[in-house]
Amino acid sequence: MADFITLKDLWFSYDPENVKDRENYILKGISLGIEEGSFVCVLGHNGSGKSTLAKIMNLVCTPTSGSVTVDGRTITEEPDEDTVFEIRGKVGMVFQNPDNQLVTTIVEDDVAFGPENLGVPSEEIRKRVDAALATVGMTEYAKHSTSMLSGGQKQRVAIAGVLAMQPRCIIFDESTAMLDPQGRRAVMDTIEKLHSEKGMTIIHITHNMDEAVNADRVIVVNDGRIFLDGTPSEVFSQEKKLREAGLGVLQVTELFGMLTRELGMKLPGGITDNRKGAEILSSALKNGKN
Amino acid sequence: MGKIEIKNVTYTYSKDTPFEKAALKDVSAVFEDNRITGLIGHTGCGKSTLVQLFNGLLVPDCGEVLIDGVNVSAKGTDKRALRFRVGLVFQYPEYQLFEETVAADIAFGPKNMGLDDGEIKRRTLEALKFVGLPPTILSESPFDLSGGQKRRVAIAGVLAMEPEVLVLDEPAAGLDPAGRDSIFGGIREYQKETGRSVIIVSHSMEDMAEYTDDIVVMQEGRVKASGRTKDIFRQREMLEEAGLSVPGITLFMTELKRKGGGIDVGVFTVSDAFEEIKKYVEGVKKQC
Repeated sequence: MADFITLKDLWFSYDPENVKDRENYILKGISLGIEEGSFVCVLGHNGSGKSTLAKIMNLVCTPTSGSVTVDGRTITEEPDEDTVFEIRGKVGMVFQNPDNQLVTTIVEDDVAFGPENLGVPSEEIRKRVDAALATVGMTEYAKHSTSMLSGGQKQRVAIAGVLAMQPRCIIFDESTAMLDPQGRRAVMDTIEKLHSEKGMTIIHITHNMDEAVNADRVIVVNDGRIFLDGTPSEVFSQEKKLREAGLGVLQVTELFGMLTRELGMKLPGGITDNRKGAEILSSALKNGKN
Repeated sequence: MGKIEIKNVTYTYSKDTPFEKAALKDVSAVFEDNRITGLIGHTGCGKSTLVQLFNGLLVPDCGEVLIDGVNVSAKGTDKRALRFRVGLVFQYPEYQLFEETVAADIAFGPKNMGLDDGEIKRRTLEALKFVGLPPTILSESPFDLSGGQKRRVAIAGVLAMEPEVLVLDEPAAGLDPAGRDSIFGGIREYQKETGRSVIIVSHSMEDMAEYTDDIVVMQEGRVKASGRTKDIFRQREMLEEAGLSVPGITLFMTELKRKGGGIDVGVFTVSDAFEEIKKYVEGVKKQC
């Protein structure tokens, strides 16, 4: 499929007037295409530039040089308000802190906030709110107070609020970072469902490796540049490079690396699934016996 | 120094109102001194309520909290002195920074303890060392730092009070893997060098397996199990009942055992798993 978002030789600094050396920019010449309908995971250590990259994609930040193209529309300089609204309608964003992105006191009012601001007729808003809450599994909380929800529930309401604006792409900027394991699982399930059932383009920013294993593509950002780019198993097989970028690998991947390096076992790299890994290792051990 | 005993403690929020909620139900537990104890449990199990009893932020409805044998939960306890003995680092402590410089922020606690400038300086430098920040950072504004650096400054502020018991609630939440390793590594070093007690609340079973000596498991306001870390992680069913899991590597080793082979599944760090497989491979070679 065609690219939904394209970045061409994109450079960005928050303060380009004073930062003369482009080597000190936050983003340094990034070129990248995000295919429509794909699930892309962006990994990078704190301060690598991955969140800035996300902000470029829905025009919270505009390129210092280079261009960003969203759904065929190319932006190179400070866009006018109409363009910004148009792009944000297509690319929604869910942030990290569940307490910072709900604006009303009742769940369904919060979900209605976006479409109301878009001037959507009220019957249509009703339909969208109900559908969005159903998608994230929060229908029974429609009349609840937002302040009484858990972190994971708040994030799902935030996702519903974005869905009600009917974007084609959602960027999740470390939306799971502040959640407990159960909340994280619920949000990840929702994200995976939006991708597989609704065919939405998903860009998920995280530094939890286990959240990247089901993505179509994993991009590692390091020091403002694209450092690695490939399928999860291609990227996770490069343990040394991931560590260089301040990241880690899943425990099973790490174990396979140690067995290969130190015991000279012949094992494939980039294994992320426990069951598959156990199968491979157990047959390797049995072959060793013979 | 810094042994905490909890004896039959009950705590109820909004008691005698329609919103009454029992958070701790007859809890008894011991947090031994001179080691790192992990406190784990599903969200809402009462972990945070429990740690707030340690320094008197909450007072139990009944039961006792003893620090080194002294009851600190009795009415009339000197709460101010207690808060110097038990240092609490909350989740996202970087939001609590407020001073103009890093030096002033770290010195805030020690200053309130009435320490002289020389001692404050010594403690500040030592705290910086444990959190892995250079002394040059002292003159900077805490608000110009990165999120990870702010977190370290906030932790240093509590370390500088040299509390007998240091309690950290999710100290590595939101940090990248290198940041996690460095924070936990620093905490372990601090514990080893000072011999004081450390209690860590976390949802990451991998980190708990790697960095704690003991574990206390809570479920629905009660202590479900406690003991040495390696013994707790052997009890997969118990942990799953409590809404928790075992580390990823333990799941992997369980799968491996299912495929046959004399592999010990009581393994919960990657280096233990490696040693276990190495032993197996070498055993096979010897037989040949």
